[in-house]
Amino acid sequence: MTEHLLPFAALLLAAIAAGSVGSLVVVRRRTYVAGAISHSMLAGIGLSAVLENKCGIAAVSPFGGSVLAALAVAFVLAGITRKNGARTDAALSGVWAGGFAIGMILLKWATGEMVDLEEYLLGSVAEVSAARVAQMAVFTAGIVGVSVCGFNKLLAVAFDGELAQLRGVDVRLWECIFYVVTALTVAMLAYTVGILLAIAFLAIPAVAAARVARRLSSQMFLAGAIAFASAAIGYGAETAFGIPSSAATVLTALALDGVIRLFARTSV
Amino acid sequence: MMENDKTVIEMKNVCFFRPGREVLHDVAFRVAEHSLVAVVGPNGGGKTTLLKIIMGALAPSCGEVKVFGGKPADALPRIGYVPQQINIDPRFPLTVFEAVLMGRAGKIRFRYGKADREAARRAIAKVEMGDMLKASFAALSGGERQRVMIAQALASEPDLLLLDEPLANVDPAHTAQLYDLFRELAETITVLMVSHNLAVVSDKATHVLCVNGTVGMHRLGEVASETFRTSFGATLATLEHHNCSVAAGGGCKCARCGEVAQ
Repeated sequence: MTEHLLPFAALLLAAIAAGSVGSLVVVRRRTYVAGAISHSMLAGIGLSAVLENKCGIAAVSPFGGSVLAALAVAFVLAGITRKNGARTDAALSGVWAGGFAIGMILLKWATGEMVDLEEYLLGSVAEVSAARVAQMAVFTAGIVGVSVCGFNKLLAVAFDGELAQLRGVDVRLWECIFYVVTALTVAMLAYTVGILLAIAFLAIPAVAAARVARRLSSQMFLAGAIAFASAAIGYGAETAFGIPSSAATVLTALALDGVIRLFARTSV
Repeated sequence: MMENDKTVIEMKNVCFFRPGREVLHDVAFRVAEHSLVAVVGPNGGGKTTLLKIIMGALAPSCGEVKVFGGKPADALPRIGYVPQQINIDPRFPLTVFEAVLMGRAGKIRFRYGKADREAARRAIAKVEMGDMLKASFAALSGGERQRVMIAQALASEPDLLLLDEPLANVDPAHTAQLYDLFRELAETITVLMVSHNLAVVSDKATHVLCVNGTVGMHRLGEVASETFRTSFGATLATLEHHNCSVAAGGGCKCARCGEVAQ
């Protein structure tokens, strides 16, 4: 039984972070940004491997590389979304695919062999270490702290950035904070539970919660609960039936969204 | 030009260019405090551009703009603004109270305090939506949303209120109530309001700012409301002013350039 404590703790922390940041990402219609960041992280992992294997520099861990890549891509995406307007989706697709491609090449160069992407796409939460859970706890505390303290500013910017600027909000600063928090959340989720689950964790529970929540704060709580319920069922499916937990989690979240949709009056 | 009192807005020789055309040309006017100025003119005449220049959201291509005697950007904390339309997801999860509180977002460090919530409640009461504090913003009609946006601007307790077609979707009963509110507000602050409802403008406004590439300021004080209303039914009404005429339907004739446009 104790062997399940760490995975459950990791999933709970991931769900809390995903619930708060995912809700912001969904109401701002930035789920594509989360997808682009999560895939581009592979470039950071690849860079870490190249530095270690080719240059003998072990100072940047794979997770550190992921975080650096996520932050770098987040700032690029912030610039793209500010300047490109309606063409943002095409530019995001370029960053999404480009980051992933660079990561594959760097990993191939560093290891000398083709990389098995399943580990990165689906993750392996069952093997999560205590150190990783502690790291996640620190990240989640920071993410939730910023979400709570900056909630009113983030809400105003999400509602209408131009209007918030005219109300005296430093929109550029809070846009930057939004992208940094999103990057850190995606990096933490993707590295621990996999790229696929990171995107699903951010988007599906928040969309499901939006069907019934009248306030963003309620949406954040509900999205976190849906994410954790989905992840717990998904993990249970893996331990009981050998079904990959990431895939089971995604399908559970979609099923919960479908059930909520049946009873909710609005659609997203 | 407006005589007397303290000047809230002053523009001198202001022009504004967009690629391929001049939106505003040689604009010069002053607005004294406690005025209720109706901004009229045809679509594309530069009304919204003018409001954004006053707020410092757009920089004029030439000329000088002073708001409360200083740069527009410095005056922003004293300005309340209601946009023509808001670009939001209609299902954005937000209550009426939260939406109105956003008017205070620029005044707080992180969290709203008691004073912010009280200011928001007062603002909501002014637009007669005090019984809808917990209602979902998404569930409101277009007119109700517009009243919430007016309350949001009022929540910041501005000294200058800029309204860009604030009553476009509001029903007649609330339109009359809100015009009364704007008139009442003008006793303590200054109000600039873009409007196409010239009949109401003639009753409520103290001045008309006619915007159609150029700008002319007209004082209504010496013109009887009935005369003004009748005049707007004609093809061209000459008001008491310094150098401009106002045409029916919001069109303008500016003596400075001689142009007449609907």
